[in-house]
Order: sequence, then C-alpha cells, then structure tokens
Amino acid sequence: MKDTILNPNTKTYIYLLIFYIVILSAGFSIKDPYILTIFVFAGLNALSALGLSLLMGLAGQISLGHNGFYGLGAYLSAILSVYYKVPVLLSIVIAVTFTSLFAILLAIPALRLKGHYLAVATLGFGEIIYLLLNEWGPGGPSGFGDIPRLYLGAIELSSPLHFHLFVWTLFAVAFFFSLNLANSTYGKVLRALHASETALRTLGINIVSLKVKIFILSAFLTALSGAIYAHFVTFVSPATFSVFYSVLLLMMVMLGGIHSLWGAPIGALFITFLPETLRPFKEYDILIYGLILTLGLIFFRKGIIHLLEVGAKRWLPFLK
Amino acid sequence: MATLLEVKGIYKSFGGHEVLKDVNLKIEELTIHALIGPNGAGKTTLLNIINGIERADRGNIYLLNMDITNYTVEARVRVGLARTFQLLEVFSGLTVLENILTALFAKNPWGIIKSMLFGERFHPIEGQLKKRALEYLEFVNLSHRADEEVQNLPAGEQKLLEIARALALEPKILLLDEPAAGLNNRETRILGEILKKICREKGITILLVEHDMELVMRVSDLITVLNFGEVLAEGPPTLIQKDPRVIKAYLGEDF
Repeated sequence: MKDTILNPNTKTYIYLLIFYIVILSAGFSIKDPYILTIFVFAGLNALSALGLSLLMGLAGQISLGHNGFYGLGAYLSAILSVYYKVPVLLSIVIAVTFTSLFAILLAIPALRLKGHYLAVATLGFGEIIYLLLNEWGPGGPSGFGDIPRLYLGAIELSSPLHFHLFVWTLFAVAFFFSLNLANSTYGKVLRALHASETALRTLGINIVSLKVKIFILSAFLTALSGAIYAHFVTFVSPATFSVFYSVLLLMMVMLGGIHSLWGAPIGALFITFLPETLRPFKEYDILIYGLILTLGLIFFRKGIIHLLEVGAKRWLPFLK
Repeated sequence: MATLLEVKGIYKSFGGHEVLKDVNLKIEELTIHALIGPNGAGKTTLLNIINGIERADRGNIYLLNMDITNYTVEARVRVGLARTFQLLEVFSGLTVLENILTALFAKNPWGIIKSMLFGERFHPIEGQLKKRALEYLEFVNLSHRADEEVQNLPAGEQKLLEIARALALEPKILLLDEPAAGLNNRETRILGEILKKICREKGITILLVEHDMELVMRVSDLITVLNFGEVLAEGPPTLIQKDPRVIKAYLGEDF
C-alpha cells in the first residue's frame, strides 16, 4: 500500500545481506583461531536460537526442552559416523530428520498444553534426553571423541575459518527462509496464535497442526546446530546438552529481542562473547555476567535489537 | 422460509447449576434473530454451544437439517458458522488488514514449506486476497484503518473488525455476542445499518445477542427472550415489547 521503494520487508533482506557480509569479513580479517572458534559457537547458538525464536517469538509457545533436540542431533550424528561409518553429511541429514520426527512425538501431547504447563512438559523432555545420553550414550557421562570432521565434497572443514564460513552461511540461509515465513500470511497466522487461540479456531484453523509444524521446524534448526557442533568439536559429552543449554537459548532470544527474529543472532553473538570479554575481571566474571543478564532483562525488555533500531533511526536518518 | 439453524432441547449445567434448561430455538433463513434476556440468562453459553466452543449436556443442533452437534469448532466454520465475541478476540500485533487476511487464509491455506521458500512474493492469489480483505473492511467502513495495528483502534472499531473478519469466512449464519457493548450512540446506529446490510445484501442470517434494546427493536425480525436458562417468550419486536412476562423478567414484579 505504501509506495516507498523499499518496503519494510525488502529492508530486512538487505540487512541480512549486510549482516552476512560483515560476519564473513570478520572471519577473514580475524587471524586468532581462538576468537574464530568463539565465532563458530556463536553461529551454532544463533542457529539454535533461531529455532527457539520462531517457536517463542513468532508462535508464542515456550520450550525449555531444546537442549534435548540439540543433544539428539549431536549424539545421533556422532554415533552414526563413528560406530556405523556413515559419511558425515549423510549422518547429519539422518540425525536431523530423525530428531524432527521425534519432535512430533513430543509436540502432539505437549502442545495441547499452554504456558507454564507447556514449559514444565518440555523441561521434562529435555531432562529425559539428558539422562538418556548419560545412561545409554557411548562413554556415559564422560562422552566420546574422535568424531570425524565434516566434508563438503572433497574439502575437509578442518580450520575454524572453514567452519565459520560454513556455519554462518547455513545460518544466513535458514534466516532467509525464516524471514520469508515470518512475512508470509502463514507467519501472520502463527502470530495470531500468540494473540488468541479461540479466535483462530473460530476462523476454522486447526491450531494443533499449526503448533506441531512450527515445533518441528524449531526442533529441526536446533538439531541441525547440534549435529554440526559434534563434527566441529569432534567430541561430545552429556554435560553440553543439559537444561542449562535451553536456559542459555532462552536468554539469547529474550536479551536479543523476542519480537524480532533478529533477536536470535544478536542475542547469540552477545551471550557467546560476553564471558570472553569479561575475562579481565578474573574471579568476578560470573558475577558481572549474571548482573548484565539480569539488568538487561529488567531494563531492556524489548532486547538489544530494539536498542539497535532506535539507535539506527536516530543516527542514520536515511533508513527511515 | 426455510429453517437455517435449529437448536433442540439443549441442557447445560456448570457444577450443578443449570444454565440452560430445554432450550429450543429455530432461526429462519435471511432474518435477524435477536436473543435477549437479563444477565446470567445463558445467552453466551447458548452461543458457545451453537459455535462448538462448549458442549451441551443434552440436545442437538441442526444446520439446514444436518446434525452438527458433534462437529468441532473448525468443522462448524466449514459448514457455515461464524461468530464474534463479547470480549474482543482480535489478533493484536497484526494490522487491521492482516486480521482479515488470517480469515481468508483459513479458506486458502498455503503451506509452511511454500511460505518458507517464497514468502508472499510468489503467492499466486496474494494480491487478490488483499483486495478481497479490503472489500470486507470497506463494508464495515474501516478501510482507512487497514495498515494500523489493531490494538491501537478504539473498542468500537475493533468490534466492527471482528464482524468483518467473520464475514470473510462467507458464513451462512453469523453469531454476534453483544456487538454494541462499549459503542456510543452514533456507533450503535452505524452498527445497526451494517447488520441490516449484512442480512439484506450479503444474504447472511444473523443471531444477535444484545443488551441494547433500541438496537434490538430496530433491526431484528424475531426476538427470543431467555430467562434463567429457559425460553420465556418469542415473537416480533412489537409484541415482545408489550409482553408482561418479559417486562417482569427485566424490571421485577412492581412494574
């Protein structure tokens, strides 16, 4: 309806392109492999958080069980490639597909619940997966290693830079599709789910099917992130996949900004790098970390993305 | 005229308290049928049962002689039932136009995979849907608000939006739960005109639950009075107005 050259939807795609270019250039210009490794973790977290952001921000459902999907993705792909000699790319595909199907099993009962009940049900699911990995996973609580690295064609992804490019490219593609979804009428219906389930039903929309689908998509992205994690670190142990990971994802989504998908990458970058930047504070780092997160949630409810938007509008008037 | 909707022997109780006792109702095609009664008479409960949000303990509901008692809410929408709510149920966070689009989407679903791959860019009927959504907004005089977020509208306009959204389902019968509540005199007059237009121009039958007697008397063809969960009287507005039982139910013994 508005006759601007760039409608708001087109703009977000341009921001995505800019974001992608900046991240890639950062990868090429940073020579320190340690910092690059943190960037890879941030990318994996961004992919996982994107899954949660679609579920929570867009469709208004809560999950505290995403550590389960992350863990299943990682363990299944690792086990397939180590013990059954399945080529890595294929093992990732199988692991992610299986985890997504598994999500249906959880979604059908869980998504008939709402709010706090759904939170507790998903929390239970994540905890069950964590315990299963401890009991049945190879190596038990100490995990197992020597997981083969990822090959793309003939290129082995061996250096952090390779992984950096791979993970953030994957994220950009996933983000592109997620933006499509959020801007489509389907995305509007998902947001309507957030506002009034009763009204959606009286419009003849099957809300259970709607919830199951977004839940599967959410699990898919987090499982994908987990599977890639396994082949990047080449070692997995259950501790990585405890409920703490779900809480971390929740913090990323909330602190980044729950009302925009952009909250996921911004929150993931912020939270992944925060402990590193607090190193100089030595033994006080955890304290400051906690303080920043708490104060952030109290004073910046709309998230970092909102601050960036406000800042951009003030300092870069040509955007508006 | 044929009977569009028939409610037969409906009973409903909540925790031992009988809210509806053997309620029978026949709604003729192309009429505006009002359902009135003092607070707590069971009007909204009856509407919820017709709509499927609540289940009756006993009794049946027929739409064009088809038994829809066991239909889900979604299935009832497909056979031609639409409703609005007493307490607003609009989709805040979405624009006025997008609210209507969700209703049109229900009839023209477009899967999650395709939405992810293409967004709305290649949607073959997107432009057409938007045009139709605007027509429904035009119908309730809201097209100038199309791009505003719905929660920024005054309550009266949100009520009209709910009506437009229900109309977008192209129902056979529209159930309206107190559409005039919270509207001022001028808005209520406009609402009355819109209700008549819905019935005459669109050929949609209306079941109207309403407290605003002036509106009810002006627009309805037939009125059913509900009191303590039972049908007290039924007839055209002129008769209902003079019915001593109705006056007693509303005003008490002394009048």
